[in-house]
Amino acid sequence: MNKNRYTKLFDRIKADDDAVRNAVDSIYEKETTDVGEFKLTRNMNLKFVHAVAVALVFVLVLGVYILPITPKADNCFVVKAGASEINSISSVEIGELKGENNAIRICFDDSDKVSYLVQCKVVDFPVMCTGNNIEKVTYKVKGNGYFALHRDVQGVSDVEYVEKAPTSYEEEQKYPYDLADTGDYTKKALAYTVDYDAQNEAVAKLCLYTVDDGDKYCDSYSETIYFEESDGSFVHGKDFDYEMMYLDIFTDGDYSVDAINYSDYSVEITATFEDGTQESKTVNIGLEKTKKNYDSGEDGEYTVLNVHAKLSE
Amino acid sequence: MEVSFSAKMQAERVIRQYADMIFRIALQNLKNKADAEDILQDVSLALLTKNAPLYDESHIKSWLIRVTLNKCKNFHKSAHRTKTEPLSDYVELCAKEDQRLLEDVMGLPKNYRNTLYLFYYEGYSIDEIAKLLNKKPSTVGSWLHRARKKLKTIILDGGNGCE
Repeated sequence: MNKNRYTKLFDRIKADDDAVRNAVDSIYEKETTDVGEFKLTRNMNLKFVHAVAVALVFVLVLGVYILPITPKADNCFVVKAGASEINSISSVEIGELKGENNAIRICFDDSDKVSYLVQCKVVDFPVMCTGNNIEKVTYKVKGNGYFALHRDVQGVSDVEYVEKAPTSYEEEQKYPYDLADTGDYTKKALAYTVDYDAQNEAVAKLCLYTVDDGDKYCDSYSETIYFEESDGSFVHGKDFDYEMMYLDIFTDGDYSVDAINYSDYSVEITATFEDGTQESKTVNIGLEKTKKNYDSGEDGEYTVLNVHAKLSE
Repeated sequence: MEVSFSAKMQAERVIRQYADMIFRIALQNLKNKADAEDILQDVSLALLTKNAPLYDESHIKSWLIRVTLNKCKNFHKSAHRTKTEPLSDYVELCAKEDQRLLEDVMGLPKNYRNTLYLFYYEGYSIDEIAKLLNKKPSTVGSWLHRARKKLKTIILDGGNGCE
């Protein structure tokens, strides 16, 4: 296909007038660069006062009749991923790396454990701390990685940033671009503290990374996860459609990179209780390869990479 | 901070100028007309954020491309997107004789599609595309080479390129 044919094809693809009009209308409807201010109307004001009054009565009753006879629970906490408690005996799956949007190459040793991975990969980190009398929780990443916090996250304090938002192409090279958004960058943190009740809102992503040294660059061609078997062959992940596209990548490149052990990744979770005392637990992050069957209508299985968590003993 | 009327007028001018480009990039990434139109609206609003180079003519185009690509990435990751399959209604946007070709182009990997579009249609160089996509120039060069080779195979074979 030549340039002219391609250009003619896309010349005919245009945004509808209605779509452009809607976009323009939304521009004129926007009042501020920030979140809109909430104002109470007179009617809402009355309802608000009533609600506060009822709540006060409820709190009073609760304080007088219930709390004095409820023994205060001991300080304690457990670490959970969803409904599953993370323990030191068996690992808990906390997520799955899917084929799309990944630029990663992962190599396994004979026991199907990750021997090294190349480039940065952002995974969901839905790990939270639950327990009694907890005021704040501190998450601290250890090893090769950092947290990606949403820029509008609430209830977070004492953030230890990786660095300020990248301002140049060279700086952006160091960190994954897909965390960037409209000039206001996702916070990259090595550690952060969050109010106990705000943990749900502040669930972070975890970025595990290695920094390539240029000469040994392992190229990020793929939207598919490729697995290198211990015999040097390559197995790809779920996106079979791309197999032929990328087949040659692994026949003409130099992919020797420094090995990094997956056990280098861990997160220390510290609960600060209402009486000021603290308790810490360390969660080790592992990546494991498993096979899954295709959904309805297709035979066979595909490889997925699961993110596992286990408490350090 | 309140958005001034002059900023809104400037944002309208920018959107009217680049609406087709934003729509095409979004369509190539999301393969769905309604989703692409949503991205167009999102990008319009992003123009009014404090960091947008609204009056910087030399940077506004590349900024719009990057924001559009980022919005598409975020859209891909959204809960709605991960649970539903997009309706590929984009073929209706071009003439019947071109629909097969458009489907073939859309069948390429996303990185190939973006590279082809920015190179062929927007006229960016490989180095410029590398900066826009935050990739190495050698990577973009390879994508472009493979995309062209793949499309050539598709057109010569008359098939969809699947082995």
